[in-house]
Amino acid sequence: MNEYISKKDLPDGGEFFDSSKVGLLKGLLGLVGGVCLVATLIILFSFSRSAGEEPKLGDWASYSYLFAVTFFFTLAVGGLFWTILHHATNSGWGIVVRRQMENIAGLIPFLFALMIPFFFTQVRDDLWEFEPLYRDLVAKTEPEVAPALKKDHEHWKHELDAWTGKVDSTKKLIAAGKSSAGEGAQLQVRLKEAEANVALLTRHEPTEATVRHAIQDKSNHLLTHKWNMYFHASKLRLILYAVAFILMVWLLRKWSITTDKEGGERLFLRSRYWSCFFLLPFGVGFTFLMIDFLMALNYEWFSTMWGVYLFAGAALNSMALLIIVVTLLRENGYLQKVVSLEHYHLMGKLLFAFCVFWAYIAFSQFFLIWYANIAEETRFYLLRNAEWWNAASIVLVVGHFFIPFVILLWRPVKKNPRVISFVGVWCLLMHALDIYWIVIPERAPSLTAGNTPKLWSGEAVILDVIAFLGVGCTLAYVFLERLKGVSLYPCRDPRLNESINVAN
Amino acid sequence: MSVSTEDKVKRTWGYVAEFDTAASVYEAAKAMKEYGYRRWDVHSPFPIHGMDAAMGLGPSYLSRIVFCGGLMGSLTALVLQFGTQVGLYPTIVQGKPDNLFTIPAFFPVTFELTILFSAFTILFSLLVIIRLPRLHHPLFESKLFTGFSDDKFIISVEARDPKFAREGTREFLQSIGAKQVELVEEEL
Repeated sequence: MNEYISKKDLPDGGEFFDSSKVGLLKGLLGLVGGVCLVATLIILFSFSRSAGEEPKLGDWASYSYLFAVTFFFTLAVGGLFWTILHHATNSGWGIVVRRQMENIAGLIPFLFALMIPFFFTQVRDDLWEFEPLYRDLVAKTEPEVAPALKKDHEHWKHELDAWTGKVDSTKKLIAAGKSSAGEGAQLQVRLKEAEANVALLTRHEPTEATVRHAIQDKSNHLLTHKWNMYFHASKLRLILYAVAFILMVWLLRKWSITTDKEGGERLFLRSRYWSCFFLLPFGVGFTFLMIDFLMALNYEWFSTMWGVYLFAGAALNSMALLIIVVTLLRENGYLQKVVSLEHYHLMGKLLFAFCVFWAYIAFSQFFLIWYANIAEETRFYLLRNAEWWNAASIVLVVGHFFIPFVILLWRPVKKNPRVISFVGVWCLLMHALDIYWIVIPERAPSLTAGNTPKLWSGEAVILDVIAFLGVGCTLAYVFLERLKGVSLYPCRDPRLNESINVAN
Repeated sequence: MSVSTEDKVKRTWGYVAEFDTAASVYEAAKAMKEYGYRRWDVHSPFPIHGMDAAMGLGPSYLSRIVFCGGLMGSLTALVLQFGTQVGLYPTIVQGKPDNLFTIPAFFPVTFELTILFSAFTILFSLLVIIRLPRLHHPLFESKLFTGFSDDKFIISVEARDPKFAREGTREFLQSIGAKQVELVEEEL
């Protein structure tokens, strides 16, 4: 066992990142990121097709941009997840790396800023086809509504009058009292029936809404009368998620940094208390955001495991990123005393666990759909097993699960910072393939739907690379920029000693 | 009719040494390791962090046996399923293929059998390694030893240890801070 290290052996105000040493790297990242991001945004907004035309550069780039933003968003969200989980479970081991989790989560506000293009119709229409389809449907069916309503209303009035007349005439007959006992009973039955029909018709007076629904339903029942079609619901939801996530990230980071200055248990206990509540908006928000972003790429397809699937990938790869960040910091002389191989072992175990969890969820999702063999469900996998996408699917199974699984089984791997960082890089590559495999197969079939259908557009890959570099390098720049202001570990956390000397 | 203790044939099993605090037993364990004892153990009322490192215990080789067990489980499941449903009697269900690509259908069983075989391997190989079940152990004869389940920390050294010496070990145990040392004998 190593010698016991306590707070007294550490510098008083914590360790600080010396950003002057990485000036060149930061400049390079800023330059590449800025140029690529601006290029992507210009392409996105300047070269957009109007309805019915062949897809232009900007339309292809919408998918590239969604791919890049989603990939980095899952990583940042994973950082938030680990922070929340660490607080909520009252964990002690990871306090020394918690600041890096917070730093990764700290990218979330910037990612929501990068999502602003998704509020614009020209980008939305390329990605989420149900929106233009719904607009077309409304435009096409709206003129039919008024005449249909008139006709329906006339028919309804006629029926209502007929039954009201029957009620009145039967009441008269009963009041006259001339019928025999048997006939009287029959009249009562007839009266009840007529009254019930009148009540039913009164309740179901045809309105504009019901007639519109019926007409749209006949045209395309998948699109109509869904509450999320109205009032720009998915845009409102995106704002809601942004507010919730940014608030959680901001509060946890603020409490953590304030503890650096004032010490004590006050904010540590508060973070723990609130993190239990944060788990709910985190889970709900991430699940529905991924449904809005990715599952909605094909509005006819659905999977109940979608949120969990993306979450597993997010948690796994955020842990991979955390390991890489901590290793890079240690290689450059930071965190030498506080992070030990025990922490690597623990992080490696979590990496391993989520590698298995991802495979479990991904396989369950595939397996249920494959076995049930229902046409509306299988289309997701049919598309992703067509031609060369099949190779990508197989690479995903082998590379995202079997390879890291077998490697991470060995304890020495988990205790070797460099080796496990390489495994982390491998996981990130596979995660990029995973998100690419989710987003991009939808692109060519969707964009070329009205014209010459295509499965794949090779030229558009360059747009994917530019968007990926743009978003990635910009975020890396932001990450380095924000690294310098605060200590690299929570230097006055009440349980720091426990975390430094953790053994497992 | 009772048998007097003198009539029994006994053999030295080893020593037990009693320590008062976790810290002292921790230091003693380090000294034991440094001296080179091999067949010895620490008994404490609660787990002591870092004790396995102080004792110089390496990682258990059980994991390797379990890996083999798990691998056997996977192979058994795959061979039984592929052999019967693809090889001997190709079963085509819902147009699913009857070649390698039908493997997802076999995963649940493979998964379960892997776990089942691993679990059995853990249980039974552990029983073999620690030689359980057994009816009795010489340590139970020791009065001193019972303290480990209350408030004492015990180090036991077996006579089988190459460095064991009837007087030397007793003196060594006392020199590393043992409060009491007791000779443990087993009946033959």
